[in-house]
Amino acid sequence: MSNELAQALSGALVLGSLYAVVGIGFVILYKATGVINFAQGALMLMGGFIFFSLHESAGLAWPLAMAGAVLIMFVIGALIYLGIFRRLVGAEEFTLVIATLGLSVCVLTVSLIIWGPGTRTLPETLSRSELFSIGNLGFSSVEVFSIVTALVVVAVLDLALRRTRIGIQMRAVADGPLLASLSRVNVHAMSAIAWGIASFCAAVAGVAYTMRLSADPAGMHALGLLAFPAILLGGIDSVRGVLVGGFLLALAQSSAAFLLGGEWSEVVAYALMLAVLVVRPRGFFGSRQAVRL
Amino acid sequence: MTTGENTLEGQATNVEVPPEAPASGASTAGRPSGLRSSKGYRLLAPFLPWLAGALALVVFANTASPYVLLISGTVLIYAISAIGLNVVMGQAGLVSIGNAALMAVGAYTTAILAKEESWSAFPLPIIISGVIGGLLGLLIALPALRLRGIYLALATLALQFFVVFAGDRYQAESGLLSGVPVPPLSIGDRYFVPGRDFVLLLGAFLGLTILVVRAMSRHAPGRMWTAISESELAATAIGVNAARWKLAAFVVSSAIIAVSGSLFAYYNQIVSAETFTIEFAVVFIIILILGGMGTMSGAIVGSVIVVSLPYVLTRLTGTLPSDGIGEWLSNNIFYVNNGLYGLLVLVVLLYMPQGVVPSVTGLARRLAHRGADQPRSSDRPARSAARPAVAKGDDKPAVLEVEDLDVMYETGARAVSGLHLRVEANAIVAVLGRNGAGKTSTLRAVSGFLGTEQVRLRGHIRLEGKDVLGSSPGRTAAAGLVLVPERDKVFPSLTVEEHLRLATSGDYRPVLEKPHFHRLRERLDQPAGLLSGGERQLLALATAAMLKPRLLMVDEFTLGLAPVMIQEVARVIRGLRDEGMTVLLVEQNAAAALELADHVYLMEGGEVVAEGTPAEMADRVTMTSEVTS
Repeated sequence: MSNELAQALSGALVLGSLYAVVGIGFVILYKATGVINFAQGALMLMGGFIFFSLHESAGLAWPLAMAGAVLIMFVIGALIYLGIFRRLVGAEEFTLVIATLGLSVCVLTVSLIIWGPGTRTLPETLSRSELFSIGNLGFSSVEVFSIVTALVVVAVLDLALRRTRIGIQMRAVADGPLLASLSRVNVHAMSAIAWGIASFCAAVAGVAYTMRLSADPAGMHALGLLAFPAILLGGIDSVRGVLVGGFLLALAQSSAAFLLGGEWSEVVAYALMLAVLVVRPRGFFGSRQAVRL
Repeated sequence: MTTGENTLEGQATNVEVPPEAPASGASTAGRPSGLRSSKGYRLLAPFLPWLAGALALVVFANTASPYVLLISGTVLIYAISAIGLNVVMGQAGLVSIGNAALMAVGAYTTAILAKEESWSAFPLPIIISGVIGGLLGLLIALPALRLRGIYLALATLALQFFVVFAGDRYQAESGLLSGVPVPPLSIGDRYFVPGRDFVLLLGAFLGLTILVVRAMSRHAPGRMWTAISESELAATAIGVNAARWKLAAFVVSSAIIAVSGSLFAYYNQIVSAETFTIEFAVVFIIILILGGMGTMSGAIVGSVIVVSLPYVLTRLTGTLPSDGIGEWLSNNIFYVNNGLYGLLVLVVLLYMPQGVVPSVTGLARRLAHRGADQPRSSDRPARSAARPAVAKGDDKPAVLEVEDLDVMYETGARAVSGLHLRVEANAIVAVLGRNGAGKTSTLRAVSGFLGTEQVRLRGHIRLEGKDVLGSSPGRTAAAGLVLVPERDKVFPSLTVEEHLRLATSGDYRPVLEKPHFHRLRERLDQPAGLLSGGERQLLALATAAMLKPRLLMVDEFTLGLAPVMIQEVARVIRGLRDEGMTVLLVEQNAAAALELADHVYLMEGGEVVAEGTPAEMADRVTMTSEVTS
């Protein structure tokens, strides 16, 4: 395996883990509240910047800064529900999509006003030099950290949804909000948690991105949107599908970048998304209802 | 500052007039009758708004300052684009984030053609831009057609990246990194640069766009689009080929948007991929939201607001003191200008869901009618009225007491009137009646579902002495009321075990020990969606029982069940009563209800026509009719 190919592969694993973690937040939110969230990229960017501020400006150690950033973003997500989307419960999908577009603009603006449009580079938190290698497939500490964190978040969330009572309640809300409220499930609380989780997941990806590269508004925003092809590939309402979709997309992008050049990576992702729309709109693992017409 | 005001006013008069046309053409009712009867007026009427619009535009173009004219050109181009988008979003009810991409297609096409001697003659580049835009719309919408609306949004998102990528590549290949220059638009040997003439030309294009879209929405396509956006399923059922009409909407819309992109290229005389971002696409959605989805006047007013707002705001900021908030604003004016749209969208969606224009006209209408309005207090349900904390009876209160309940729908239809109902503790009470007798309305009123709808409720509904009239379903559930609905009584993707865990934070196993729920034990790992109708009913009753309700309401438990299963479910309900539960049944199946109940109410036409023990009611039921059927 040539060195460049190996590099592309390890890059794909890191990128795929970011897609997976953003994607699982998206899917949980979609299943619980029916909201297709276009603000994922903006939330990711905000999470990355909060991490940057806590670590750089407030001088917190990076694990603390990370915990702080993702928790703050969880709260922000819950507040977004309580302040805005609670009032839009029962609105058409159309309205909800537009509301998330508006939200995206707002979150982006607030972040840019606070932190400015420039790219910030953190001093090295975790080593960016090679930690270990399999063949000539090398991984640095920060890459390993990024992949492991993402996998842990996805696994824990998946397990929690299936095993805990809150998880079951959230799935009940996803199945039938009306029936859930009849069964004394606090639908608003569950929806707020779902928003919190979506925002938390975006922040995890934002922090991982910032640690590995830099707090780059444009890059993070674009990556948040690229989660869409990943999600569609896996199936818009499948928690586990997102994992597969994320890595598959990252692999396709890396191959494209390797074969055709870096500028093709984004286009290939969206071409793949269109292909999925044509061939199998429910993705690999999605349910039929999600695409019903 | 003064110029800023002029900007707004000027543009408003300039563009608002033409779109008034459909409204005034359609409803002549408001006009003085003397004018209406005049024959000459009638002939002229359809053209008057157009004449007025054209006149206003000419006057405006000749008087406004160059600065204002420059901005108005952009307003007009945005308005054309927004009207195009409105065909898809407002009329066919689909979300598209492809506006920027389609404009870019038109703009690049124009930039390329305008350089070629043989292709650059007006209006060739504009027409070709439209055709290419339409074709691209066809291509992109094709896969999304048979899918839910949201997939079109995603397909257009992909389009965005393709077009920007292609534009970037083209600019890189041809060495025009900062943008592709576009020669000014010329008709004959007359050149159009931003200013008076260009504004007039754009006004003509806007008029043309309005004509085209109006002609379509008045004829077959428009009606099909409306049908599809109202209910795709119903439209399909009456033979509308939804996919084909959606495709047509998207193609027409794409062509118009591409034409606006072409004009945009001529206007700015440069085309750069950087302009056509997703945010740019979102701006047009925002225009429609602000102006009010579905109307052309909304699209135009929205364009005026969105284009001029940054200018107004920037000017306003200049007048603020240069410290504190003024300083902050002027430092961040660029971001504030961009972010304001997002904020506006949320505000409009939350507080004026119909958009600014309909909300404002609605408000004006309400204000005008205020004098004639009767006091609204009588409409109010009795929830704000005296709410006795305790029922008057000093003997033990019934679990449920309904007094003088009236349920009236907005249409004036009275579903329930003067209803009295009493459910004693530890009893099974059945409400019997045919379809339309008002049973379901009663049930929905008690469980709180009507409180959130456009329904007037009057009377008292007391749950253990507490008045719950008009409470939300969540409230009544918290107050101890549990409803097993007629349909959708289980969560299809949750397993039986998960249903039971949902119902209690403690141990769920005791409930399975009860003989009547034994059946569920073998099904613990099965998703409820795979259970039979009878098993679903059992599961719903089991979880309901675990919630330890003060009152269990069961809506049509016999529906769709085989007689054997009805017997089994009836045994379960009786078993629950024997354990101390209070049950209210709403039933059409008289035989089953009479066998099970301790007390029976018979409803007809929204009123209780008889009540008594099952034995007393048995004759009455068979006498009155075939309720059993």
